[in-house]
Amino acid sequence: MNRAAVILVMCGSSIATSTLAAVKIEEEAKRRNVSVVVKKGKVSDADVLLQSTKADIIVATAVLPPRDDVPVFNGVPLLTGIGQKELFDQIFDAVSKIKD
Amino acid sequence: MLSVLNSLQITRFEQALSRRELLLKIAEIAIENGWAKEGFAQALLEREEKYPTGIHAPGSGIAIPHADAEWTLTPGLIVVVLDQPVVFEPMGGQGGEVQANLVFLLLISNPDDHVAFLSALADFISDAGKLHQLRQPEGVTLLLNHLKQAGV
Repeated sequence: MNRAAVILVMCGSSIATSTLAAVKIEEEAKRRNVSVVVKKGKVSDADVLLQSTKADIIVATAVLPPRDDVPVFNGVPLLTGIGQKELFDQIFDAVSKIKD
Repeated sequence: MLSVLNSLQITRFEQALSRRELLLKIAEIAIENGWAKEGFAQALLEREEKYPTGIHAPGSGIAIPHADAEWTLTPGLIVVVLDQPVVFEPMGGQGGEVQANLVFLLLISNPDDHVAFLSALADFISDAGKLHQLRQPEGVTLLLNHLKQAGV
């Protein structure tokens, strides 16, 4: 893949937990030397945002039904630290599998 | 930039409360302090029903209720220590109900202005020792120092 992966981070209001989760993903991407673009939004806008951002991956801290089009990860471990490493491994594994 | 350090309050409830009673009480505090608009309580309740904020944090059940930014007048944080846990539904729907004994009411205006605060808070709630100490009388100083060190 020659472009940066687009990760869409979503929560209920797009103000608190998605901001946190977005910052942590950006920091981890730097550590792993992977280029990503992180976008934020509300889960209620998922369909519209997926289209407008052309996101490759979704990380949500609110309940979002699984989708056929893109992988969806539960972002709560980014708030508590519990299971955070495993989640990062899963997210960046998914990033590495993205095709152009 | 307005710092949440100027509007930080810790309060303790000894009595048993339902989630609704608790949210109404803390919304009232926020409104009385001039940190949130009238109507904030209803917004907070609705948001919590739709998008629950209970978190299974290390060694504690916590919750971080909040409403949309439009309700905030002054960015702030109200920390509630609960002697009787209050049940919250889990954020993200996983892990079962949360018996919260610490609640962080977030008053956020522009999230991009509060990245340092939100990151510092996430570090804090990831730390079982700090969460435990927050329940002690000196807890407020600990939290303030943690936020200051993080550049909030």
